[in-house]
Amino acid sequence: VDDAASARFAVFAASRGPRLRRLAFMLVGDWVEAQDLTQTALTRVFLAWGRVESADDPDAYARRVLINAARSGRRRRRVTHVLTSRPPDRPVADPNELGPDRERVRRALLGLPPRQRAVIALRFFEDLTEPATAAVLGVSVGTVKSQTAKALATLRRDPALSEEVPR
Amino acid sequence: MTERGGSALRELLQELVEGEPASPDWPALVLGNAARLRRRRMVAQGVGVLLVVALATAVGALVFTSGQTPAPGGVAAPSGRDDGAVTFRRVVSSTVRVGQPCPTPVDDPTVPIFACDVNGTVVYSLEAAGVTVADMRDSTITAVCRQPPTALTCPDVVGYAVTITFRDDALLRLSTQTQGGTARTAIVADGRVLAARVNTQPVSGTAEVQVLTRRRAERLRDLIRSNRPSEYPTPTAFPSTPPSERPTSSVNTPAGPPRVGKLYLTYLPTGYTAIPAAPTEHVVCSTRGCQSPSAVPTESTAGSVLLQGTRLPPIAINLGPGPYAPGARPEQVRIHGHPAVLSVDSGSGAIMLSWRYDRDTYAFVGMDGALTAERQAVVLRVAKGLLPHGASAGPTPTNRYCMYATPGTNMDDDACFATQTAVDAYARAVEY
Repeated sequence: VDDAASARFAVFAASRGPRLRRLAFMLVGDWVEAQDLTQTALTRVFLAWGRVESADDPDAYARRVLINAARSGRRRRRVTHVLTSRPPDRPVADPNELGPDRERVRRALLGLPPRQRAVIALRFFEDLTEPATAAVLGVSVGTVKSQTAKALATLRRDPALSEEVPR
Repeated sequence: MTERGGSALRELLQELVEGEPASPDWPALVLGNAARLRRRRMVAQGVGVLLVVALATAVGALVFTSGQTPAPGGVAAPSGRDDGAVTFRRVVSSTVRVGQPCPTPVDDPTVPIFACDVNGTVVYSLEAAGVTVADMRDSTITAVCRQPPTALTCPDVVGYAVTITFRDDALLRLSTQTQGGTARTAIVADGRVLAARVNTQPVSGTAEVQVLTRRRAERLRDLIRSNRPSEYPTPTAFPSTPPSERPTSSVNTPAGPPRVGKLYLTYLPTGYTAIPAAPTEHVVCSTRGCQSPSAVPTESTAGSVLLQGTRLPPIAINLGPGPYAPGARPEQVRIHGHPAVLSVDSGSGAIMLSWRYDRDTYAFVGMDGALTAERQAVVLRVAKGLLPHGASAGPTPTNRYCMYATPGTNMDDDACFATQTAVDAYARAVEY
């Protein structure tokens, strides 16, 4: 990757990073982990930037890498090296602290199997269509439909969410 | 079905990410990571092997060094190579055994994690905690740079932090600090709390380690929820004493017969349910050392200081309405009429409250560091709100573990150390 490509990637990372981190949060329910995940995903995107850049939809590629990283991250030990300009243990508010309503949603999401969680996040947070969701996940549209239905059914069983979840 | 009618769910999901933490500089992070990955691939895959080997055998030993080969007898200087680039690696060292003298890292190229008591004896190791690699889920090394890091370089590493998360909710956190001071910490494992010291090379600084097992977390949670009324009386409200009526006598000479009691901290911020804190005890310290309220002189370094003497009667500290609201006045926190200082060590979760009786006399309350995440979050928010608005939202100039809520009230290193001593002693004394 030459300097010009790196610069283009920097623009991509700066603009897509926040959104990817939010998607990652949907998948893992933890901001710190979401940040790690986003960093991992963007790093992988950068390493394949030549291909990604010329692809039709770099965003879809990045999402797919993120979701795959989330899956694989659960299976293997993770070692991350992070440089920061701030000492790590300054007292700060818990970034994961949510109000009771949002915590309820977070827990409900985390209660879903990973693939169903990804489907919900892509469909209802990223607002992707079923075909686009299928493309990101590398599954068929039918699978997206069935996974969505199962996920919604599960969420609907949560008394606190039953009214918000579409039927 | 889902193309329409999902607006409520979409709204919920959008709300879920509101108030997200500030976003990092993604390009810098990623480009740095990517370059490091490439370099790692190019240089040797042995580094990765080393990491695996280290993780697979790092029972009781974890080492983090700067990237170049450690100098004989020590760890490479934090300044790193000429180009300033820093990489990390872990090296397996021999397990430090309980009962052995605390090794000093000066002549040791490795930096094991172990716990030492105040006498310099190893009292704990990860091995003793029964921690095995199978328990380890992930680990993170953080380099703390004096200057904001660039993509590849951290030219002046001033500290490191290691976080190891274990399976089954066991948690060990270690963070090193960059300012001077004795590395003192508390290790909590399986219901036991031990004072600890973690040697940190290449920087000399303070460190915090915490091991919080699920069992202990559950006990703490149950304790908090139940409040165990039979054992712990209900805290009484702290009277808002006018300044003119503030007591001036030292607790070193309590009136009447000694009373045995518990000291309570009760947080009552607006919008939050009162959270009965775990009972704690206190010690009074001055620049001459620490004393228990019964005036038994002890050394400030004596870990048993809290186990002696008479305890103060129960009190409650009402932080007042909305102490962390903008503009909250630190004077809202008083103990016996004296402005109090709340110190929170987010590394260990220890909470210390101190107040000043006179020019050179402090009193300290230490709370166990092993807080549940929920409770710690509440306390941290309280602490944050206690700080003067726009100022002092950090460490004192001399010790980053001491924050003060009262402008002009400084806690010197001795006071901070005494606070830590109190926490350690309390931690030893209490076993849930």
